[in-house]
Amino acid sequence: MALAQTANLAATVADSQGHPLADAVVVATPVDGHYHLDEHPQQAIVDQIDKEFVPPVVAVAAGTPVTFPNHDNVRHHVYSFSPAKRFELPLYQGVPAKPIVFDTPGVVVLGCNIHDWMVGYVYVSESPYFSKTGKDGKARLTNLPPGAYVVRVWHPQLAGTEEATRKSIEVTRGRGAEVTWTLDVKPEVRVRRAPMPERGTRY
Amino acid sequence: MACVLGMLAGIAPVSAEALIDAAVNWTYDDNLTRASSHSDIRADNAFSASGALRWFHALTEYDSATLGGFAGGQAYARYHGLDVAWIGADVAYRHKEGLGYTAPWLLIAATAAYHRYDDELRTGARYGARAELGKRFDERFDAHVAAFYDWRFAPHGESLVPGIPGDVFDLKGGGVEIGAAYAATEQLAISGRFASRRGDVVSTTSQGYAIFQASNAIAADPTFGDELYAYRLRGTTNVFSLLASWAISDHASLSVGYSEERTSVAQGLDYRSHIASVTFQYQH
Repeated sequence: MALAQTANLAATVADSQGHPLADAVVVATPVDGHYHLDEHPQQAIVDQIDKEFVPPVVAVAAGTPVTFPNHDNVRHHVYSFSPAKRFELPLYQGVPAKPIVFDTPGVVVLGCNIHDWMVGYVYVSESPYFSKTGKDGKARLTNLPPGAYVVRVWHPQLAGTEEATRKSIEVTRGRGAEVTWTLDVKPEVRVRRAPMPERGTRY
Repeated sequence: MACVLGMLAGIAPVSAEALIDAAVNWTYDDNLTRASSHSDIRADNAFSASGALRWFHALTEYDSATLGGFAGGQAYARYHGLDVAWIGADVAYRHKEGLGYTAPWLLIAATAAYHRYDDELRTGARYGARAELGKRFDERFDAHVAAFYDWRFAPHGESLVPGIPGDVFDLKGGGVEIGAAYAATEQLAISGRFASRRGDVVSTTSQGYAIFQASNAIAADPTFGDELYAYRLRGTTNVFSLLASWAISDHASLSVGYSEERTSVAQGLDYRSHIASVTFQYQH
């Protein structure tokens, strides 16, 4: 479909206090079910820098290969137990020889077996129309064919279900569409990285 | 441990992760003398600073070892005989039984250090060994059980009584510990610990028949004045500890701790001590 016949969707995501929510993934699915995933999607990257996954959230279309380069000077052991993709990259430095292909839609939680506090997310979208919010809580989905869509949003700290965020919108040629969410979010909980003193005793 | 050192030697340097640890601490102890009689109890507070440089090696997907050195010093406000500087080394081997942060772990650790006090009576080497089994149940909560043993060699102290040695700070003992930590929020973590140790303890008190009978070493303890003597006793110490730690960043924390030590010894010479502390710790 020619780009001139497409439109954009502007999404804004905030928490219940009105603060912009970064790293929220917005997905638009055509109601008529007509869409095609790219047969050769661009490779995505989840880096490891200072013993953290960078970026902490990556959104990809189903079938996308993702590489996990390790830019730390220590080895990492990346794994996932998530039903959408179970895998393990045993201890390595540098760039693994083969990317991991994420072919099942869903949320894949990443961990490192050496550094327990490391957590990252790969959001695998069944639709080619998705985007991730920036620090301003805004995301822009581009090149949507005009028509009816169901849109939804996911965030690592989302208190409810992703399904509960579903909204129906109409994307029209030239005008596009706008959608806004105010989400209840849970406090971020991950294994503590900060040090704690080991308390000794004197006898 | 020799096995661990052997594995360490076979690891390429690039796989080692340097860990820097620095801490400053304030401690108040309401019974430094570990005495049972009120008239013998001395309290004081101290500042300490310490640092450590360690190398963490991921040996396999499930095994890691840490090897390093540490040093520090502590100065008391009143009882300068307790002022101490130390230097030491430690090694730890950790095995995770599986993948993920909820996998149980086994930790075996050993430490060796030399402590030089202003008062030579306490100066000497210390060694410790520890085996720990632990498990993280979710992102917030973990718990462990451990067994430990400690040796302290301080061959000083003149014999005051013929046939009774004066090396009161030559000590050894061992025990068990259970502990747990809970991350109440992203910043605040609370931990609790109970340890029970059976072994040598030192109580500094005025002369008395009961403590003389219960002791197996006696020495003058000039740190606390001419009227008090240090007695080595055999006892059981139960330690209850609580710690609240506020994460300032991923690398720094400020912690407030409290512990109560209850020691039971023969002849009814039981004593208690309460210790409060504030620690700023930086790790990178």
